[in-house]
Amino acid sequence: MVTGASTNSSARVGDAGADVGALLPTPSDLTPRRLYDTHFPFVWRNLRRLGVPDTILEDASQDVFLVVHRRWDSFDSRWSSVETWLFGILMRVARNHRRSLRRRAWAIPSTGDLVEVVPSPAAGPAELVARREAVALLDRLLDSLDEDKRAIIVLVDVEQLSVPQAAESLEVNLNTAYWRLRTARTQLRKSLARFRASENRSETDKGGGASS
Amino acid sequence: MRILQPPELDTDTLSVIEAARPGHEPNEMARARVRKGIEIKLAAGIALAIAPATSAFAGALKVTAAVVAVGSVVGAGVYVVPRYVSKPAPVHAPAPRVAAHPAPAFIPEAPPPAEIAVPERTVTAPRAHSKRHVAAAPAPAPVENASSLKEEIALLGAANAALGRGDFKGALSLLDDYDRRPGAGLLAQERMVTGILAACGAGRVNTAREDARQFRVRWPRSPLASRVDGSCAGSADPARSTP
Repeated sequence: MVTGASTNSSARVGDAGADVGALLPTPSDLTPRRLYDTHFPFVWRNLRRLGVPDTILEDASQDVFLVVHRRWDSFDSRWSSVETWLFGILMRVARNHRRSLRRRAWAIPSTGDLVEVVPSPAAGPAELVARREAVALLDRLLDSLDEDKRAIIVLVDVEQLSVPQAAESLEVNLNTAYWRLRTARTQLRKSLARFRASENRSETDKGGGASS
Repeated sequence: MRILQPPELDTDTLSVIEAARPGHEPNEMARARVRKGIEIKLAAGIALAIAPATSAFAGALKVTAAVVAVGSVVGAGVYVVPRYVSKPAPVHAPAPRVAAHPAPAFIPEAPPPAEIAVPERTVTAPRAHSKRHVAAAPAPAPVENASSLKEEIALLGAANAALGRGDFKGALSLLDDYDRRPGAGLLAQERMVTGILAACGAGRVNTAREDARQFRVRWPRSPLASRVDGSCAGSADPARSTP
């Protein structure tokens, strides 16, 4: 299950996340409580990225940490990082919630294209609008992928873990992980191209409509 | 073996990801609510294991389990008696599946869901108002329907017994089994109430509220509405149901 990925906790994240990783406690210092404090945002944002709708995001996050409590003994130094272990858990929880949601679709109202973006002091209104649009677009692109491809894009391209770490988290061998990433990126690029083309078409239609 | 390197992301895709990356973060209220939910769930698990008889939560479950179990039996009687028997059907308890999950000691009043006996001679009776399997052969249909009803009662009874034990996940899993059964449930109201209570117990307050909202829309005058209002899903008044 566990590959020969790095055992250095602070070195597990890619370039952009390396500084964050260095600030995190080493696994020996961790308790479920501390893990919640340090990794709640990790769980939350990745559940969202794996397609858990906002209406059940709190329930799903709660489930992840309850599983963490129950399985705390199964986390040890064989895992290259807390994130790879945690992602494996949250991926299963996300899958269960999505299945449950499909069965109870009649009981859960759809949120449509509403995207909640947390305001930050550094971001102005224009930036927030742009971020909201980017989140909605990324969600749409991720929706075009199947579960496995979506997970590897989230791990490698969005969360910036290394491919060996993604392989460990997804419990697949390295070749499979590379293959999935390859096909997922190609698919993502095509989906975005299709979206841009339809965007251009509607812009042209609007322009044509306005001039006529 | 040579590993085929994946293609790099193009700049457009990369820019979308970069722009969206900070947008998926949680807010502080969500963080606090989830933390509270986890603490309640963990604490409830311990409390039920140590002293279920003195737990106020267990008390609430006790009453609810009794109501739902009785509701199931009454609902079953109402449905079965006028259609499949020519005289009042004898009621035998307990049903075999429920007996495998006896109600815990702190639910003394909760009668186990009863098995509705269908006399053999009624098997050939015409099935005038069957809701399901209309195209099926008429003779065995009542038995099929009755056994389906018995299965529903057994599943709901087992789910309520699990609720009483504090095994909310087990209850939800049994309700999933109930949902997977073909056709619409005859005890849909009871199933919904049990689901709301199980969701409350599991700390899934949002789910419970959504289900409660749906329950009130579908059955605005249900006698079980008070059980829903007494749960974590609160009353229909949004001002009261907001945390």
